[in-house]
Amino acid sequence: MSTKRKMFHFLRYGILAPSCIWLIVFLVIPYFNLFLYSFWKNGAFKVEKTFTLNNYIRFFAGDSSGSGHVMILLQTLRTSLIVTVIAIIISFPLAYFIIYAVKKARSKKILYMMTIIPLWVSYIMRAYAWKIILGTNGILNSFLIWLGVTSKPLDIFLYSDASVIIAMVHIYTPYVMMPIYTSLEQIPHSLIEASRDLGCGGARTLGKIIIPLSLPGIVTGATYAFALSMGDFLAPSLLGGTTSSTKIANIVQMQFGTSDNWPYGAAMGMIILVFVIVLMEITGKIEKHYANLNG
Amino acid sequence: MEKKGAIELIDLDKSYGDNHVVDHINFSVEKGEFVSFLGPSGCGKTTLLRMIAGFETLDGGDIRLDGVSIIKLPPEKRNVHTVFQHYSLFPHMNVYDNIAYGLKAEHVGRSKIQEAVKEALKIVSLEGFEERMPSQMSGGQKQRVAIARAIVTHPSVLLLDEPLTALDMKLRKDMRYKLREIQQQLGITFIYVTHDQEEAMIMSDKIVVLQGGHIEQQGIPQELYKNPKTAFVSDFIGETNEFDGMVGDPKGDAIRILCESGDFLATGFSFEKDEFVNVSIRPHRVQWSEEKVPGFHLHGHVTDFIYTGSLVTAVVMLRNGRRVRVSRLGGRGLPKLNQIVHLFWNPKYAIVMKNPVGDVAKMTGMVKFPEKI
Repeated sequence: MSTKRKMFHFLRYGILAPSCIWLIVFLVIPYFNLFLYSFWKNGAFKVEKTFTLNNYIRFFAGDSSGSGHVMILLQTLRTSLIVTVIAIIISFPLAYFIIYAVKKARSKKILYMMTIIPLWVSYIMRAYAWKIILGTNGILNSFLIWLGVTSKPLDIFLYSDASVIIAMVHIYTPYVMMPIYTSLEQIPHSLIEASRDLGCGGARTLGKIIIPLSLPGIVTGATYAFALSMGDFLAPSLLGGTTSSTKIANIVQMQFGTSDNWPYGAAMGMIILVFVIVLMEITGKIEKHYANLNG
Repeated sequence: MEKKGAIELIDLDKSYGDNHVVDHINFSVEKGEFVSFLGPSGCGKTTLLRMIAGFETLDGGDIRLDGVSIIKLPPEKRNVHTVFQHYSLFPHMNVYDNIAYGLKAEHVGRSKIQEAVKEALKIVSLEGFEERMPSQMSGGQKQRVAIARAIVTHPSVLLLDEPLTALDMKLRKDMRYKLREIQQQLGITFIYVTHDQEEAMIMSDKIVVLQGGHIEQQGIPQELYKNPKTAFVSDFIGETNEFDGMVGDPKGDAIRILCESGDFLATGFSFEKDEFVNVSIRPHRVQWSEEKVPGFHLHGHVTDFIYTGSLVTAVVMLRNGRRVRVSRLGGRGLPKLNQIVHLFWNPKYAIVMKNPVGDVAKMTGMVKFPEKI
């Protein structure tokens, strides 16, 4: 092999090396570890390295210590879907408005920046902000009292499923907004003109041309919102009630914390991982289908 | 087939800031006519088309379709369809759905849609392409689908915005005849925007030459070719040799023109002596001789030959460096390279036009040319 070729090979693999090492150390090893743990037994004060399927059985069927956590997984799924749908319902019209109704390029840029600025603020701050707004002596209650709707503060806003959903929608909407905005921006204006030229008004053009062509963006955004809200344990623990709004991520966190049952936590982690991967695969297929059509 | 789609443009006006893109244009198109808007880019031809389609607002004037003003109607309510420059087929729909799009908007029944789509595909010779997706087709096929999509609802007027630009040369040439054929078959008005004079000449009943937002000249193709009113038109329509010179004494029916390379005879009306003018003579009208020809003092030598298919052009360099092209079919009867030739022509083919700059002699107080060189 000539030195030139050696150099080329070195460069080719050398460039890849840092990211490979990073992935192996921080992704492959931890996940493999998690995978092993999920088949081990939780003994008194330490993990026993003997093979068992009990962790998985416990998740689906429950055992002596209580029922399984499938229901919570499904409830989390429900909450995540609600968050995703609301985020899309907010994002799409907003992106549509900025792209088609705002004429000046500068105003477009400013409005777009305003919608994604929340991403610059730390997660905890945003979650706590909702605590201040929705709390018993919070802004919302003060406002309602001032309006005369109610005479004393209501405590229905905070520590419920609703408050968790509100906070999550707020936190994840920018992630949905960005890909939708990009996909709308990429639709050639001549297609919209062609649709109108052929006799279709605004509503039909929206339904037949704009929404189908922005579907990849909607799917991407929905995937972000869904995957992120599935794994979110901070919003539920800060804003959620004691039992009703506990999400699967909280249970997982508990296993590695207070419950100190790492094998069960690992098994739950694997189940959620498979669940989310299957879901991503499905949305990926849909996206690819449309990308092919557009190509 | 019954002809439809008379269009009247009345005092149309449009500016973008300081840029006067459409400058008080008055023009009318008869029912079933094939009209081309011809001009260089930025002459306002596309803006004009978009105004008729309804995508562009107007600052002043009126557009009438079959006698009724349409400027208040949105694009979807105008019985006018557009074939866009880059096809603009809907990428997520197959050919059938693309073509059926306009029919579905009109709530036509399913069986009627099927029939109409089939008919439209037949007109553009794309039978059996219903299931194809736009991404699976060539440029020429896409363009024909775009045409089928625009004609399937039988609009009164079809607007075509440089539809052949994106195609290769061979296909472009075939499509010219095809478009003309489709237009004749349907009997609807075609308004065709192009910067390609050959395209416009081949297809159109009438050509409107636009420049700087106003109409430079309009008429049937032959008329524009034979009697261009301005140097811009003669230069834009077909190949031409241009001279700028000064009007000398009349000689019989012709007038003598003096230029820096000599003098010659040409035909023109209402030009005063000493007026500055442009003269256009087509390359195939230029004759040559080895001896002097009375009335003409233009001699030079052949420097080059240009081959463009069946036409061969000799380039003759006159003194002072002006080049004159002489074309012959198959190159028959052209002088040899480096041969000294005297150029002349039948004065009736040399068209004298106003110099757009105006009367330079009067403006600058320039010295007069000598009468004889």
